[in-house]
Amino acid sequence: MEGTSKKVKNTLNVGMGEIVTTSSPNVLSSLGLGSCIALVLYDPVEKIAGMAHIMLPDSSMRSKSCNNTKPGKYADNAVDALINELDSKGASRKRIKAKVAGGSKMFSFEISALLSIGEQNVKKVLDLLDSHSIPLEGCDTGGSRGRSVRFNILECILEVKIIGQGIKAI
Amino acid sequence: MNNMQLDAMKELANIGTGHAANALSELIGKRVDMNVPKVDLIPLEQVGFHFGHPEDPVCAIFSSCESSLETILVFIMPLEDSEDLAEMLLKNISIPMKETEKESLRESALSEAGNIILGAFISAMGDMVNQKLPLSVPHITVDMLGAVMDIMVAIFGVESDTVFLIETALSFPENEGRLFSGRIMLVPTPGSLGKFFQVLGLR
Repeated sequence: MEGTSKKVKNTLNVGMGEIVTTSSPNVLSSLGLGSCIALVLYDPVEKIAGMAHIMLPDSSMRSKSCNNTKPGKYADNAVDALINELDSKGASRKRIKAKVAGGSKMFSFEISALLSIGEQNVKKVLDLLDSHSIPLEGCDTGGSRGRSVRFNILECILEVKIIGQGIKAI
Repeated sequence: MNNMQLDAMKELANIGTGHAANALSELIGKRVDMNVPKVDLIPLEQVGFHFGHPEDPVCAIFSSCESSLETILVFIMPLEDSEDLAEMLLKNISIPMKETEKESLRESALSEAGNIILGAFISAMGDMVNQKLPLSVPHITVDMLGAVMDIMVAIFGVESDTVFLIETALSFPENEGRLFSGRIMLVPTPGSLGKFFQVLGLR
């Protein structure tokens, strides 16, 4: 999946619960995020980045009957896994920075399990970044609209697209 | 989940769809076709691309059923089809209106249509299992397909890496050559799926 020696620019899509790491000039994308979060961790010097498509805040929510879990599904697992993957690819732990988008509230729910899941995702991700002392360089979260994101590793820019509002770069 | 359980869920959905198609047909005065419901088990990472492209603009009317058979229901259609449907629903209204008023009228008409369709669907299912299945107030949104899907499947994440959903399509071909299609999706919360099988005597 990772573009290692190729110089051709590829866009790698990160599906729900997945983690993908790659290096410049590749682009990482996550399309149609609702309550989910795209977390990007990157080393701006080595131009190595990883994206996690996070669904839920905490792996302690996991039901006992679920033994196989995707690495990016829960925020807590995703942050650790991303750091490790970047580390093994040669990123410097000290230089790692973060950009975050997503976590909206698409509908007003009455099913309690879903109440403000987007909000909880955002809070958990920001808390985790803080406790890992990873600086947050850009953030576009909350609201009630879906987002698509693309991370350009070369320029370390996260493009966020919202229907009817165009694209903004953070 | 075994084949018998899958077939039973399909049959429930089939009856629900028949009622939903009738309700829509009465609403717009056109013949409405339905397909045989599909029961899908979709790996999480494929959810965004399963029903189209995750960035496709859609109109979705969402409702939930709060009972022992807790379920999320959504009536979802491509944005342009929702515009056609709104046009049909409001064609007999000739009061002059500002564009913003028209927009909000379109939205509430679609929301109500969704409510009627989903209501017919779930009450038919309720009759089958001999339970009252009440529906919440509908919520409408226009957004990317992926964003609408992801909140529906988030609850499944805690149980497995696969999503269980029942999907069925309504369409009417006689709309000046353009095919209208809307989908009903039904996502039982993980805890209620077992209860469905229980009331159907399959457990």
